[in-house]
Amino acid sequence: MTRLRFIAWCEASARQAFPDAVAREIEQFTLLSRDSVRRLLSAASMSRETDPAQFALWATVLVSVPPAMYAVHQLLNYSAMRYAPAFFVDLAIQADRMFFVLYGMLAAALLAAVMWEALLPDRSDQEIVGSLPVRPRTLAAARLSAALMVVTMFSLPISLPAGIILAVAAPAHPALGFLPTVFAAHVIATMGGSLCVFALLLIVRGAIAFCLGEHVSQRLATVLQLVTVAALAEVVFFIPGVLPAMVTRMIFADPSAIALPPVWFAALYSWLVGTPHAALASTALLAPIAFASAVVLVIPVYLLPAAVLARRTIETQPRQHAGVISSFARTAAVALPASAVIRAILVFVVASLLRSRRHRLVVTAYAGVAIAVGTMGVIAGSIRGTIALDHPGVSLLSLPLVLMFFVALGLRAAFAIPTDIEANWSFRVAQPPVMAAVNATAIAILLVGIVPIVAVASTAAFLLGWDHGAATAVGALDLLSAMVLVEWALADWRKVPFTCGHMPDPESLRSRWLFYIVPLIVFAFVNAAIQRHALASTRAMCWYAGIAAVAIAILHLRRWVAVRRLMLQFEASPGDAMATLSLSEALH
Amino acid sequence: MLELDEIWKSYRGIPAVRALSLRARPGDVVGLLGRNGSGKSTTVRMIVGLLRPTRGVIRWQGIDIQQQLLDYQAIVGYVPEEPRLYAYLTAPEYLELVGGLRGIPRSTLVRRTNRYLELFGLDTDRYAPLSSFSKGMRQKVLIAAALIHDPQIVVLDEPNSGLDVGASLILRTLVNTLAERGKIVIYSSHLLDVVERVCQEVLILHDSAVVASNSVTKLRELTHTTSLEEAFTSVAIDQDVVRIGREIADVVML
Repeated sequence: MTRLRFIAWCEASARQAFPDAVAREIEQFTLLSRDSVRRLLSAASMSRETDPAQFALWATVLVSVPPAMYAVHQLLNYSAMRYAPAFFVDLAIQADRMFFVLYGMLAAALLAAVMWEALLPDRSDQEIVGSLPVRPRTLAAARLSAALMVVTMFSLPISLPAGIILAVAAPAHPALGFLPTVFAAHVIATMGGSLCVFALLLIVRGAIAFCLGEHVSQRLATVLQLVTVAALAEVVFFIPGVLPAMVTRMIFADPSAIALPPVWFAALYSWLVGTPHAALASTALLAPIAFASAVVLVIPVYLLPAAVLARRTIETQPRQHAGVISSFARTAAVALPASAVIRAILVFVVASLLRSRRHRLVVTAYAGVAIAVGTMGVIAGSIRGTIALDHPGVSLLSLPLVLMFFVALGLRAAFAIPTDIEANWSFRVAQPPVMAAVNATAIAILLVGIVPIVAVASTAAFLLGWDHGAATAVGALDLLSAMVLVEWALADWRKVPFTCGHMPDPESLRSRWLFYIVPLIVFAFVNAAIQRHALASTRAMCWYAGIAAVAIAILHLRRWVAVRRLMLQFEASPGDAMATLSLSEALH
Repeated sequence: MLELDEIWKSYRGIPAVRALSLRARPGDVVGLLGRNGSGKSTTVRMIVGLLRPTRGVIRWQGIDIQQQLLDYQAIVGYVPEEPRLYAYLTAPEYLELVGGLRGIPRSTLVRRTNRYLELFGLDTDRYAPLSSFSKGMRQKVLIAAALIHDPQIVVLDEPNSGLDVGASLILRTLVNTLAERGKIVIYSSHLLDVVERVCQEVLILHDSAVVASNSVTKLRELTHTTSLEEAFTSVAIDQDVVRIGREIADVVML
């Protein structure tokens, strides 16, 4: 009731303060902004059945926990540094500040990637609002303000807890700064960095949609998510080791460091707290300039082409690549010696995956983590000087295995989320055999996820100058390993992908991650070591292939026994989410 | 008066509507008939200001609607062919959003919303999101949203879609009542019997152009037929429907 009164008061105030037309536009802006927040959250949540508010809550909690935990960890470190030399403490705290700034910026970029399609009013918005007496610029302005509101709401919980913890730690050493200043500087620098990145991405979104069209813009979202997920994982696991070197460069105003936006905001942080390094002042100045430029630029980029974009959106038929996609899926299906049922399901699965951006984003999130985890080993190996590119070592052999592990699980997670649950009646009526559905799912994972990775890995091996026999053998061993993995991942699967109701479970990530760490280590790293030994002789390779074939047969038989008397599953069950890593939908 | 003067609409040079003219006075109910892809929905979308004609002018009270688009859209109510709604909103939330965007004072809006929900039998579902609504229920919400601001022009694109028999009969009475109260109603539909009962004037579109435009009675006379369905078949159906129907049934023998 209070909210309604407040809205009525706002409307009355607007009517009194402005001419009728302006007051009407302000009212429309308010209404559309409020609705746009829900629209953005709805776009961000992968499952259409998910409550956007619940999703927002879980996503925020999940993303805000790492910096808070890192801050607690550093609180203990700073307490131990009470009597350490000032320069040593200064170096440590500068690196930490950069970590928080970088993390906030990447989290904002990730948020932009997941809300990408709704950042500008789309066809559906234009269909609904287009026939109403609302200017396109009002709708665009409302969407922009809602986007900025969402990123602020998202960034605050990331920034505030760590800011409070670091402020509490400040009295431990004079180099850490003064308590309230530390808190203010932390919030300004981290929030400023996040908002700046977000506004820049909004500019990119608007400019690309205007200049190159919506299709290119949508493609960019997938790339952006892949990069941000990988970078976020790197920030948590790997970057803390690199940051001291970056800080040293920042302090000495190295041009290569000063070109990086996180350095500007980290310098601003230090400058606000107070720093003995005079060179930081000029770098710090770049942060407010970048922030102001981004915020000022985003407004015309959004508002000026609003009318043109609205007309183009409503008049352009959605671009479809049905021909290319269908022919790809059909060619692959026809080439397989499989039954008509398996072929039909396979074509459906491939087409659904390629045409659903939501589902592609789920797989992309997993692939991002895979790239981060996979490259960590390679980068660590190259830093230690233990990696050799010209022959198969464990670090290089593990890279495609890590990718395959996450992509297979990512595809499984995406398959568990329905594309259009109301359309699943076709499968309910036809009731294909469970084994056919499972086999089609397995083939789809191999076709879409595994074969491209194996192809890229083998090609890379050839290009790196590996012995041709070894490069081909690695491809074959990877393929066999992947088949075992797929059989394992689909052990309790009895659905047609994209057709079963989905019940996201927030417990899945928190309670099950350990169960996936062990298989990851065994499949990617232990397996890579075994592969290296297997490559040493033909006999060892035959043993490897034989064991893999037996494992595939046993897992396949076990599944056949388990599902042969069961019906296909179409209704969601709470246990489902536990069976996947659920990186995206576990946030709900 | 609403006038469509020789309007054309093309997409990448391909005409979707060709040289369509129409005049509607207050109290008129004009039916748009045509097969799929004949240009009905494109015409409707131009009438509500969603699309701009490639050539020709749409006038309201003698002035081009593009010159007064916001004012014009304020007096138009539109039920689209596809029930596009923000699925995460509830029915009252959606009606309040649309009413709010049309500038209806809050107290009036709440009264009208509640009454519409009651009359359309959606009262018990007022807290359910639109995503859980059936097609017919969504259609009712769209009809309410189209009428909530007391429009002077009501444009209905396949309004019977998903409605049950009772709701369809209510809709027919509603259209007649609106016409009696001086509203212009544009009624696009595939249901020939409904159009025959509801509309005074009918435009039949075929291959993006108007092939017949007259009152229902005149149309029957001109085509020497006894019903609108026969008149429509004679001017807009150039296929042997009986033969095609039989051939479809025979496909399974291949």
